[in-house]
Amino acid sequence: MNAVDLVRARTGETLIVRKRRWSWPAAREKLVESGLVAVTIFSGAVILFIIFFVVEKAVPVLRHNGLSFILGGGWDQQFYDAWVAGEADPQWCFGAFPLIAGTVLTTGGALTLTVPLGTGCAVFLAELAPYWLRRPVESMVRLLAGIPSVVFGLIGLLVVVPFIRARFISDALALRYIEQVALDGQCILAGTVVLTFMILPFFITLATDAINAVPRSYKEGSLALGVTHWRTIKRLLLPVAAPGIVAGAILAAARAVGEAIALAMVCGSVAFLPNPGHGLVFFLEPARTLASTIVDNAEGMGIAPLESALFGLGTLILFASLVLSLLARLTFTRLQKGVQGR
Amino acid sequence: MAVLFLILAVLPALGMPTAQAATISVVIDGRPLATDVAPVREGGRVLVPMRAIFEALGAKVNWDGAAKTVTASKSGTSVRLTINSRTAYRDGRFVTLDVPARLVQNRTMVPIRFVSEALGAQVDWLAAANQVSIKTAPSVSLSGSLKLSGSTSVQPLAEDLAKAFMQKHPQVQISITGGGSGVGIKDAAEGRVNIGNASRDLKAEEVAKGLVATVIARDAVAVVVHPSNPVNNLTKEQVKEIFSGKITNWKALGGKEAPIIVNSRTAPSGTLDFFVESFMGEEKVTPTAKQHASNGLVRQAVAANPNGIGFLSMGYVDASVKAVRIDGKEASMAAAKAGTYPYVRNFNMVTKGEPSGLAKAFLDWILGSEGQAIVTKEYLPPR
Repeated sequence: MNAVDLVRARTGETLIVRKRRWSWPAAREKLVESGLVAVTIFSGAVILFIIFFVVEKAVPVLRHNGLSFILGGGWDQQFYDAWVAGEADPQWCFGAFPLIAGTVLTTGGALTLTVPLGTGCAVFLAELAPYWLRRPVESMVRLLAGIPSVVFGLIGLLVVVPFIRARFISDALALRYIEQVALDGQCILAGTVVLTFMILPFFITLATDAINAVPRSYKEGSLALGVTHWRTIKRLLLPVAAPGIVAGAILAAARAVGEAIALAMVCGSVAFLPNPGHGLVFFLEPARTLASTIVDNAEGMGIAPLESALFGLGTLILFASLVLSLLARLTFTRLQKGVQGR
Repeated sequence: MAVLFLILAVLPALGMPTAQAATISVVIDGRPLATDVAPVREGGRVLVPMRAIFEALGAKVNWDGAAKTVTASKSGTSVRLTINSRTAYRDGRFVTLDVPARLVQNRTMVPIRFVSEALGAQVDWLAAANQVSIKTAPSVSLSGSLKLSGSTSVQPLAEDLAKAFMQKHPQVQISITGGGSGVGIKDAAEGRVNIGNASRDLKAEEVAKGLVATVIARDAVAVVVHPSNPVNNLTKEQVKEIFSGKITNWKALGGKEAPIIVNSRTAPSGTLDFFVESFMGEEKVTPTAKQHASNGLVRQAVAANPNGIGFLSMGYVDASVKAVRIDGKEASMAAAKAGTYPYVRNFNMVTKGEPSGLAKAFLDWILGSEGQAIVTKEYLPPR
């Protein structure tokens, strides 16, 4: 039996079928094929549509404020004024800098905690854990990834926030800063902690995969040369897996940037710009992220300037996510080339 | 002498029923009510056999022989009476009768006005004809659904009202969400809901858009602190200075050396509008204030922080927070009812155009005796 016959036997295709101009199986194949193309184009179109829709809605507020939308502050008062003015005398002045800062701070804080913790966890899972332990821990991590963010928010509000207030914020301390900001436990520290636990499982999964993806022959070669397991992990596995781990961190950051509900609950519902001049108190100061502001101020929808301002925030989040995704892809290929070249 | 007086006092009461029994007639929706035992008049009240009246009113009767108690129920409302007891129950709430139910010729006789009104009928005494005229409410069966949104101050009351209304009309579905007064008004204007709840009155431009507000109740707004806070009284001026960020230490108000954590509401809040209007004058709420989306969240925040302060619809004030006196005036619903606490505002239900259809039926019912009975349990009736 030659190859052509084999294929014919396997696919049930016969010479007669090939000769016919139209047949149901062939048509079905065509149909499915074009269906898949259509679905793909549709998904792409939806993404383009979302970007277009969000940016288009944001244009008025961006045009009114220009760069000061990104660099200016005073969001809460501006939002209140614009709400009270309504549509009779629309107020267009908005500044989102504190919100951007809040997003960068919580995301950055969470990443700083997530990367060492998560990498350690991934190394343990991929290399050190005995088989019987690996499975349950891995499924636990995956379960953690599936917990809805509002549950994280509740735990943060009922456990983390009171803990921080009781442990770190005395009346005297709060009194010293009350003119500038109300310290009551809802703060970037609480947001960072909660966000860390939200993106940690996500990162662990990606980092474990990255370590597992290192060719087995590398590790075997290293061990065969008499290098200790620990040194192999440190000098071989981690550097080779680094592109995957970094890409995982960036994707986790992209997720953190868009997190809204949980942070709205634990970060403090005020658009305050934490002041690094306050030393360690900086971490106890409230902030509000871009995404939680959209949730908190959603009632502004329907009033043109407010709606546009909220879509302006949406544009910033969308932009950040896009940049982070591209960055993840870029670092992955870059670093991978570097590793292979070594 | 005393004995004679007693006899004189009791005689008419004993004599009246027999004297006038034959002449009293009962008419329900124009049809005479036939009874095997004639209605009797006693202490200015007419008693009729319970079977006859309850069946004529379309109520289900349940007689507990051991307790000598009769329970009648009709479309979600119920009455309970005990023979020779002046205590009766209407929808589970107890009512004192001036004339109790009693046995006459082995028939249980019940006061006709009480039971009829309790079951939603209208009772008139036509003295000239010695006739009781009863008009039962037209038993239109309402059906459909209503959507409400808006003020979180109005929400608990609206939910109580909706629950009772849906019990009365099982075919009606009413769903209520929050969002704040501004959201309710906007939703009503844009047709997203049938009724927008608002704890503030409509602005001129909203009325110009064709919105109509129906005042269903009045509510007071209280300034609340943590129950452990020693401060019990604030002047109006102090409230203004606290919320504008000029006073930031509880010590300045007689409390301990601690910061004042100000809790406010987000922009669509009608309670915030009323608070700013009543207390703040030209001042703005301090930018350090925490902003919350509902009364419930403000209460939670104040209850959780010994240094917190906030303002709430009186309906939300409970043991977890403490309402402070304002200028020495006690802040409570009772004080508001008595007129001594002045910070009272309207609860509105806003419709696009005059209310119609099911929304009108709901609003009419709220403004009627049944709805207002629920309103006045915790709030003030509309003026």
